[in-house]
Amino acid sequence: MKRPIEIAAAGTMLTALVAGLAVPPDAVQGDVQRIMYVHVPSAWLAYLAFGVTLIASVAHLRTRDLRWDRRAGASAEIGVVFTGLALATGMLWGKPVWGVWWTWDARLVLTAAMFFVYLAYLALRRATDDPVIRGKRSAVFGIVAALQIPVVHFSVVWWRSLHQPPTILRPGEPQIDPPLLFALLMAVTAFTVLYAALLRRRVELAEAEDALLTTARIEEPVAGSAVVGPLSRGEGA
Amino acid sequence: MSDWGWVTIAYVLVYGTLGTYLVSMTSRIRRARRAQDGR
Repeated sequence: MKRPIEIAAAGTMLTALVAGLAVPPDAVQGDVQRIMYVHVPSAWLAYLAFGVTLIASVAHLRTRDLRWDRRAGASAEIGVVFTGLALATGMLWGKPVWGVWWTWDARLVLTAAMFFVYLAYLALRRATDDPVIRGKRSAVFGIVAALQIPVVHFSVVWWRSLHQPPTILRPGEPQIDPPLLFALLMAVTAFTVLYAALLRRRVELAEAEDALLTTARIEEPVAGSAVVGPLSRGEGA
Repeated sequence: MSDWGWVTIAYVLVYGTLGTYLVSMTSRIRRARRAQDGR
């Protein structure tokens, strides 16, 4: 069944698609600059998703409530998807504009590092079936991993970089023409609504998986006793 | 490749990935619930 948030996500994503393809091309880069309307929102949403993981991790450590742990894990997985998309679309934009798919630039390398760190976070979550141990370990990891988010964002300011500096989140007026700014903000809004829809679904999935795991753990001793039953009888004879 | 070629690949990649991710999650939720009901 479609929920209002999913209908809103579909609507805003469609509007963002039309806006991204209909606004005038960039004066310098031409039409290829339209990749910005999917590249920048992907990168921003990765920050947001990992920021939510940080908040949920802190909340889990304070309350020991597993619902916060599920939110942290769900948001991290979505963040990894958005980081992967930011990296991929960055390469697709870099090839025609810079002439290379990849360069060992601070922003690019740190974004790739962030991608792998959160992949490790997801792997850590699967290292145990015990939700209490999983929650504690991954909350600590989620808090430490978040330290790299500002480093990734400000890398273009702190180090000399091939990647362009911030266009909107910078001191002074945004350095972008209003129609292009509108399309970019529309895309960021659409991706944020989609993130909310994805998060809700992913949390629902985590709840269903945890319920299944709990049922399996309850049933385990019963199944085990059936298997070892004959051996027990043999031992008794 | 033309500018529009690069743009098309990027948009198909992003919209396709996010759409597939949402659909796959919905199907995984259904599967998990079916397994839970079957126990």
